[in-house]
Amino acid sequence: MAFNSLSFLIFFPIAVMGYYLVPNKMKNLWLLVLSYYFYMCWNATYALLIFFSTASTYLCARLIQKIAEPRGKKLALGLNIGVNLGILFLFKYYEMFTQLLVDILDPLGVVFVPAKLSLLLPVGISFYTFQALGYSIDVYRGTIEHEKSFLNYALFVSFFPQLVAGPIERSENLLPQFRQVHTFQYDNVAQGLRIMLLGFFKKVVIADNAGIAVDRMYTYLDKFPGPVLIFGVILFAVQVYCDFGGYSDIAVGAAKVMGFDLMRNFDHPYFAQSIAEFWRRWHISLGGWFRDYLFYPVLRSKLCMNMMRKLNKSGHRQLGRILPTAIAQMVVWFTTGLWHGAAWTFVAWGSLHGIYQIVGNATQSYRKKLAKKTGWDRVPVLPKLVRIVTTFTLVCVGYVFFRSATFGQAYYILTHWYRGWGIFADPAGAVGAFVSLADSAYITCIILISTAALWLLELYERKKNQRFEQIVAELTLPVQWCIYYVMLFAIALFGAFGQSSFIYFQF
Amino acid sequence: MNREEILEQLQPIFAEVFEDDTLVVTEQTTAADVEKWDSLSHLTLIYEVEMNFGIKFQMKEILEMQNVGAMVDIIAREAK
Repeated sequence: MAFNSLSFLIFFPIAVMGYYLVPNKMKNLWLLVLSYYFYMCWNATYALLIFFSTASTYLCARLIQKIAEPRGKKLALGLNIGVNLGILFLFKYYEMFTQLLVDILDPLGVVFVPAKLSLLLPVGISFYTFQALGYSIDVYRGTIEHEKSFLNYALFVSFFPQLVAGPIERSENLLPQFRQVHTFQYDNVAQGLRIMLLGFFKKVVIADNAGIAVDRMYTYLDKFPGPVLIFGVILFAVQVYCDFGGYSDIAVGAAKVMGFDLMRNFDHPYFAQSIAEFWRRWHISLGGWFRDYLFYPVLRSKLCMNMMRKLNKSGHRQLGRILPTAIAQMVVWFTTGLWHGAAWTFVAWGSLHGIYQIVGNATQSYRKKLAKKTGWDRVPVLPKLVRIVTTFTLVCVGYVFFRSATFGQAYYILTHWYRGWGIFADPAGAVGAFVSLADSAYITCIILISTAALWLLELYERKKNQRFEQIVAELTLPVQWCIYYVMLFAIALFGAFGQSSFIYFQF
Repeated sequence: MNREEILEQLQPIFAEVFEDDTLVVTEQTTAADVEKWDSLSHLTLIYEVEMNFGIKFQMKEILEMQNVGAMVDIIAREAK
């Protein structure tokens, strides 16, 4: 069941009313039943997979805590990671890697015919698998105690607001909330609904309309001149942010209505002044996951530590810092790319972000010195603006790979964006070319006006250091209701309704 | 080694890792107070501190360290 469906519009009020009406002891069971129902609306059989992942991580975490001996603990954790990543591999990456094997073996004259599995990708498998793995690693490290109640743990893995596309919650944040009783509080419901409203606006009005233009661009790639291709890539940046950011808002808001606090997944990412900062603002829960459960362990591994020691001893201190970090970063970014999808274009996108950050890291002190020497750092506003635009441009280059179905498409855009600028000789024709991307002036106007509105809102949020729902809550009631009506009308009148799913469900 | 001595030994390490000779840390200093203290430099800092004091931090300690004081706690406990 998608958030932007009629079924959810019926499901959610029933879920909330039921949650507040059932006796305290039954609340978590109610949520668990609803969460499984929510998931089974996509594919009933695959609910078994979630249950299996839940049961296996629950039992392994129990084992990890019970075993006193470190080697035994490690073994139990290894088993758990193996089983869960094994399932993920089978359902998501089997075809990609068997194809890779075929491609490698074929030139060597070895005929390899892999078994065809033709498995349907379970919605949200990467999200709940990572959340469950994070929990078992936390128990292994001793950051949290093993959750004794199977019901609470099962709900932690399957809680419907964040089950299919995150935020990938941390056990220390979400698990304790299932041990509390959440009673009806007007403020929670009002705040939650405000967050959801903005989420729906982002998804239905902005993302889905921008998606029309982006889809057209990728279908008729060779019909558009360079400047329109650039416009299309920027529109994809808008689409993917409003799609995933909108989804996250709805998830956070839905949980809030029931009194649960989920972590915020986005924090004005396109205002970032460096790629590193972008990743502290974009899909925050995934970045944090990779930092704590992959980056740190890789950098603390014997290989990296020995390398650091050796380089330090031989007097290469700077290299001793940069090289092991760069290796750990590339492992993380390669995996981040792969996490997003079983395609090499995603790996290219992830690796590109890795390279951005390694280069950024290695040149940081030189850039600072240069800025100081030339006086660039004393110029007001402009340096900040240049950094924001540069970061956004680099992110957009990454999106070319992210959105392209094949490297051919990505290559086409990267080699054609600088062609066809002659269209500006005829201003009316140029406008026509841009408008043709979304197929109509009407949709183009909706996209541009709604994006501008969101941009202004985000500027204001940053200025006030508050989120939309906090800003609105401080306004007088008539003004509040004006805003609600405008947004609801915008959703009803300008929203693109159809069979649109959320981009991040496929991951 | 008492807490003051540990903090004193930590000063040059912080100055070097964060490339700021004027940086003075107290037990209350957190990552938010130091411009370059992010997830990358955090591990460089941990490594340098480990080398200096001849100790090894647990992953749990690395992740849960809230401020310099927490680091001093662990060093005071572990360093001989």
